[in-house]
Amino acid sequence: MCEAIVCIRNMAASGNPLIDSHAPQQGDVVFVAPDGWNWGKDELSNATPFFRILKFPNVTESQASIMLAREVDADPQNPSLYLQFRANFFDKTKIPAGVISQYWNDDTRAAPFISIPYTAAQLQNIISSRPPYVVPDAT
Amino acid sequence: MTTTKTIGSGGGRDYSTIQTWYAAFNLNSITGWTGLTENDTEFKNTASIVLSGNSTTTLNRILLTTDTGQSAFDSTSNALAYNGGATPPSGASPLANGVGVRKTTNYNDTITVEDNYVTINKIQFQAPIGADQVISDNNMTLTASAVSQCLFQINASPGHACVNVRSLPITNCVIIVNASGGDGLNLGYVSGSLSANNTIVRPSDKTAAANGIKANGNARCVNNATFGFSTPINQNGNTFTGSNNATDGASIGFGTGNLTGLTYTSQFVGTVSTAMDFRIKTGAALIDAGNTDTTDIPAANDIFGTSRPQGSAWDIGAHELAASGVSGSGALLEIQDALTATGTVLISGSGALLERQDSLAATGTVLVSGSGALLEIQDALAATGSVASGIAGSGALQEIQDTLAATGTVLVSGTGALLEIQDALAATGTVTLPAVTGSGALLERQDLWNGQGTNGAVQQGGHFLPLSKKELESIRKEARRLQKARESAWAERSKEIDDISREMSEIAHPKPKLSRPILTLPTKPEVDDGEDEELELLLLHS
Repeated sequence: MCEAIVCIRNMAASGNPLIDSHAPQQGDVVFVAPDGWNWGKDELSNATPFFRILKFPNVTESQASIMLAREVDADPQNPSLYLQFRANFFDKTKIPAGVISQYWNDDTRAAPFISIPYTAAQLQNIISSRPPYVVPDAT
Repeated sequence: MTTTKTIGSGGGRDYSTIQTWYAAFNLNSITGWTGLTENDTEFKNTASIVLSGNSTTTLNRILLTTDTGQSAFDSTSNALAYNGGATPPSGASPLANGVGVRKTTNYNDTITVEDNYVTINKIQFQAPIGADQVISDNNMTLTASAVSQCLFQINASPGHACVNVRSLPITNCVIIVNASGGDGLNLGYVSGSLSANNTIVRPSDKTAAANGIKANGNARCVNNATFGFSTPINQNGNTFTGSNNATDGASIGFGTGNLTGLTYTSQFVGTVSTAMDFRIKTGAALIDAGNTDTTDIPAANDIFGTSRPQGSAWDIGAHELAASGVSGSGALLEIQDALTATGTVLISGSGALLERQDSLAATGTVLVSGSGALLEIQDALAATGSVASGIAGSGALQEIQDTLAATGTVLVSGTGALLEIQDALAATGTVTLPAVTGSGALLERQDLWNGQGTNGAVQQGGHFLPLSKKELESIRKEARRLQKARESAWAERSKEIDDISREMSEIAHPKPKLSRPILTLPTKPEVDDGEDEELELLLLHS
C-alpha cells in the first residue's frame, strides 16, 4: 500500500547545533510514497548506503505519513531553533532480529528494498518519539 | 567538483524526490551538490520539503533547479501562473509547462530553506488551502542562500504570507496570492533582506487586501510590481531602501522612479483568477520603467532567462518583455515583404539583417545597433509610438533608399552609423529634429533631410527643407532687400564706370590739330559758344 525510504545513520556533519539538529538521524523516514513508486537509482543502491527502502503492503500512505511529521515546537511563543527533522523514528532497538534487521544492517544494499507485512498497529511497535535535541555544551 | 544528480519519479533518475536528494548531500558531496528536477510527474508532497541539516560552505554549495528544457520558465510562451493556470493533473502525467512542486496537505510550507549556501531557481511551487506559506526560511538567518526565477502560488489566504522569509533574498520571482486575504511577501527580519524584480499579485477579480510586501525589519526593494493589495509596500515602521517599484495602489512610500495608480489589467496578459498569466503585456507601464540593478541581479536577466534590458531600460517585475529581436551575424539575410511588430524590433549584431526590400514597421522601438546590423533598406523604415528609433554603432545602417520615418525621435549616433540615405529622412511628433551626432554619423544625404546636425556630422547633403511660411517670407523679404540694394549699387557703379570710361577714351584719343579746315555740317543748330569764331568766319569767306 505504501513505501518509505528511511535514513539509517545520523547525517549531522557540521558540528554546528543550529544545522546538525535539523539533519536526518537514524530511523528518520525521509519520504513516503504510494505503492509501486519509481525509486531513483541511487536510492535503490549502495550509492546511498545510509538509506533503506521499506515496503508496507498493509499500511496506507496516510497511516505512514505520521513518520513525516516534524518535531513540534513545545513553546510556539518562543520558537526553538533546534527543531529536529522528524518527531518520530523507526527505533532500531525495537526491530526484532531476523530479515528486517539483516536488511537494515547490510550497507552493501544487496537487496534494494524489503517488504514488511506489518499492519499499522504492528508498525507502531517499532516507532519511537524523538527526544528533544540536546545542544552540546560549548565549554 | 560539483556532483550533479537527476531528480524525478519517471524511473531511471538518480533520486525520485527532492527530499531524498537533499538528505543524501552530507555523505556524498565534496565541493557541491546540484539537483536537476525532471518534469516526469508533478512533485506532490504530503509533508513540507525541508532543506536543512546540511553542512554547506562557500565552496560546497547546493543548487536545486531544473534540467535542460524541464522548467516552466524555459519558454517565454508559458503563462506565468502555476502550471500555466491549469489544474494540475491528478495522475502521473507531467505538468503542461514544466517542473512543479505542490504540497497536498494543509499547514506548514511547501518548501522550507534552513541551510546556508542553498540556491533554488526555475521551479514553480504551489500550496493548498490552509497552508501557512509556500516557502519560508523558518525564521533562520541564512548566509548566501537565495531564491530566484521561481513562482510561488497559494490558493487560499495564507497563515502568514505566500512567501515568508527572514533573510532569504528573493529575485525574479512571481508571487501569487490567489485568495481574498494574506500578504504576498514578508521579509526584512535581518539586515540584507532583499526583494528585487518580483511580481507580487492578487488576481484583479479579488478585492484588494493586505500587504504586497510587508517589512519586519529593514530591507531593500527594487523593481517590484505589487498589484491587488491594500498596501503595496508596508514598511511597518522600518526603513526600506531601493527604487522603481510599481503598483496599482496610491503610493510606495520610499525611493524614486516609482509608478503608482497603474491600471492593473493593462500590465499583465491575464489578471483574473480564472485566467492568470502575469507576463507583462505589450504597452504596459512597467516596460522600461525599472532601474538597472546588476548589484542584486548580476546576471541581468528575468524569470525566463531573457537578458535585461530589452528596450531602453529594465522592466519592472519578474518578466522582461522580449523585443522582437534579430541578432547575430547574418541572422536574417533578407526580407522582401513587410516586417511588422507590435513591440520592440531589435536588430543587433554584425550583419544581423542584410537587406530590407519593403517596410520595416513597429509600433514600439526600432533599434538598429552594432556594426552593419542593417545593411540596406529599400523601402520605408517606420516606427510609431513615443519611443525613439535608434541607429547606433559603426555602420549600423549602411543604406536607405526610401523613407526613414518615425513619429518619435530618430537618433543616429556613432561613427558612420548611417552611411547613406537616398530619400527622405523625416521625424515628426514631439521631437521633430533628428539628432545626428558623432564623427561622420551620417555620411551622405541625396534628398531631403529635415533636421539639424552638429559639428560636421552631415558630411554631404542635398538641401535643407522645409522651412515655415514665416521663415520663408523673412528670407524672401531679405532677398528682395538685398536685390534692391544690389540693383541700386549696380546703377551707381555703372555711372561711375561710364564716366571713367569717357575720360579714359578722351585721354587715349585726343581731338586732332587740323592742317586744313574741314567743312562740317552741323547736325543740329549751332550754338555759338564764342570759341573759334574768327576761324569759322575766315573759312566761310575763303
